[in-house]
Amino acid sequence: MSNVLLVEELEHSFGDLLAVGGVSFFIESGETYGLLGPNGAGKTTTISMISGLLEADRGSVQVAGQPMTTKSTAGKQAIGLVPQDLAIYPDLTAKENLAFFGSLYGMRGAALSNRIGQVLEMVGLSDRADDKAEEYSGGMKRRLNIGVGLLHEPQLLILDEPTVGVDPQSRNAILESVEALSTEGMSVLYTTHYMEEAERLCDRVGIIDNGLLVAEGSRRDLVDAIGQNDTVHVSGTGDLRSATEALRTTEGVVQAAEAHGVITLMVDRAASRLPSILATAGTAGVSVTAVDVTEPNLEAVFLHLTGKALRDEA
Amino acid sequence: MRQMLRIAAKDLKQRVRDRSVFIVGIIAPAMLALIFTFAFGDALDPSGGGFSASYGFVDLDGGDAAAGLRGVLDGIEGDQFSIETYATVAQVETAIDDDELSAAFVVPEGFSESIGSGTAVLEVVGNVDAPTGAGIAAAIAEGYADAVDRVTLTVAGSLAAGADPGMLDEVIATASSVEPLASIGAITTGVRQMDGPTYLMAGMAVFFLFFTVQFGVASLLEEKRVGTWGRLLAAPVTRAQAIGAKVLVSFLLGIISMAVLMVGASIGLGADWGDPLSVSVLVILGVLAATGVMALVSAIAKTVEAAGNIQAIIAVALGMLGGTFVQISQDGGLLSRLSLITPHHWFIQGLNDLGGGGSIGDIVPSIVGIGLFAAVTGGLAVWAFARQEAV
Repeated sequence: MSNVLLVEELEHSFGDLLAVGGVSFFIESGETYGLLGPNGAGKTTTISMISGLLEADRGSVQVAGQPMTTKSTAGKQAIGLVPQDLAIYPDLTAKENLAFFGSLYGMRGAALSNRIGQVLEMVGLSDRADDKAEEYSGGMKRRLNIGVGLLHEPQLLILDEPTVGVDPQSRNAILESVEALSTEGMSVLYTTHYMEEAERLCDRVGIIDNGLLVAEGSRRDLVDAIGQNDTVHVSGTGDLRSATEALRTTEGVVQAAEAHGVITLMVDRAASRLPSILATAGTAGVSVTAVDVTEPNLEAVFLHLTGKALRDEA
Repeated sequence: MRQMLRIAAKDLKQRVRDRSVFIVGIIAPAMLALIFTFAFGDALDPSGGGFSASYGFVDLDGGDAAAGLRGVLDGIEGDQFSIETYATVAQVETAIDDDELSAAFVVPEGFSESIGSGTAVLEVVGNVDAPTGAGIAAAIAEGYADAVDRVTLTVAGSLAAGADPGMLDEVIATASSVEPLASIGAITTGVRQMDGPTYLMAGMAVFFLFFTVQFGVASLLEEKRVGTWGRLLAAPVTRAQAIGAKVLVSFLLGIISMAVLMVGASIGLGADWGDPLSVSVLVILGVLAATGVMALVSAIAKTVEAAGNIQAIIAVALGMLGGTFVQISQDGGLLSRLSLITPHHWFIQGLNDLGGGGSIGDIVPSIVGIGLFAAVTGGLAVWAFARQEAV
């Protein structure tokens, strides 16, 4: 796969404050990459340099093979930016907002009109297309904000904390939209400090803290890097104590305990061990009624790597 | 260039939809100019044409001093001033209440005899609804009182010096005929000049121009406030194109505002601005000067509100100094020299020259003055924008 985004040794300071200190990563075509970090970690500064809004002090950015600086326009054509704060004209209608930004990307005529219709449909604003944005609810404005970023069908969609301050219903709609875009093959750079969003959406995650990329990889890679195991809860009837003893010696099971009718296991790569775990429990005379697997989450990884809890920073 | 035009077209749509630009750019200056014209227009007319006042005269004294004042009033009576004699104070008060008189001179009983005693009082009753006419009446009375004082002092001095009392009539006649060291006569200014209403419209137009242009460049700060500035720059648009679009909108709004006001004044007030090509040069330069200031303010200010406040202070200060309300530039002192740095002064000066029949050659000083102002402020704005971070 080719890289849609290639970031190398990116660095930027505001006066004496080092905001981003040598960040490198890449995004492949069709990949959703999460940039995870607390507020002030350097996410928005990194995105500003990637989008050509801010000049890097050092390092380079390539978008779709084009070098990106504040003066380059070719690279910008390949990017769709959805900023953290709303970036729409309140005194223009949804259609006018989309038409204006579309024109800046060289879209015009019937192609622009058709695409505006598609995007309005996609973000659920078709019936309010001719209303001014200032008359919209907060969630509708957020959806239009995303629609503007999608309009010109960019190769790389950058979403900077798009769900901050959004009600649960709109938030879910936004996440579903991103999942749909990812399924359609669009590359996405998604910044968030909501762990569950990164876990749900991202193929790979970069954890950024104090302007540095402290870890990067798939969720699995990151968890493996800190050596944490999955937690498996087995509920059932029968001789749970004997089954627990038998499971202690099952391959991949690191720890096993039984309490209140539930066997709790610490398992290395639980997904691949489940058949043998269920077979062992059955052999020990347990009729299994439910199995719950909890993988170690990124919250734990972030805590391990930075000593900070993401939520506390939100 | 296309990107710049697209952004400018969007901005113009927003400004037209907003409507406030029409109020500030066209309605407010036109209304103020009309109000000022109705209130002071005749007084501001250099020819004095159109102004008139009626004065009443009540002589309760019957002496020489009262006759002297009457003689002064007879001397000014003509097309602009009419004098009517009344028998009682009550009669003139009634005439003033009925707005038949602008003011009345009342010479009280014993006035002539009390001259020299320090108790002589000459009364002027003014009409509050005719402040200009009443003010002129007061000035006439003060002038007459000064003349009487001069004669009294001369007589007293002559007697003190041992003059023959039998020669007093001759002394009085001589003192009365002495011309003052300085007097106001007919003054020829030596410069061409617009008529009052045209001057007011020109002044208001250039004064409000400095408010009108802020609807263009200052929208840059509004874009930053609503978050669209970053999105604009993330599109295939350079920063220079985006800022250029804002400057272009300011320029267009300024030109439209000035054109509407000046054409409107020509039609409505009969204003004669002079050679259209030369006037166009002045207007374009004036709009560039105003845009330069606003661009500089927008580059420095952090918010739309701050920019509006700074621009208002600058616009009022330059407008006052430049003579958009009163011609400070004629006072000859420090303010006169300071007015030379304002585009307002040079703009009005240029229109004065053109209104009197001048050509492009006559307004070279104005072109240089406004052009320098536009170049300096525009250059500083470019420098300030270049120093900013991209977003």
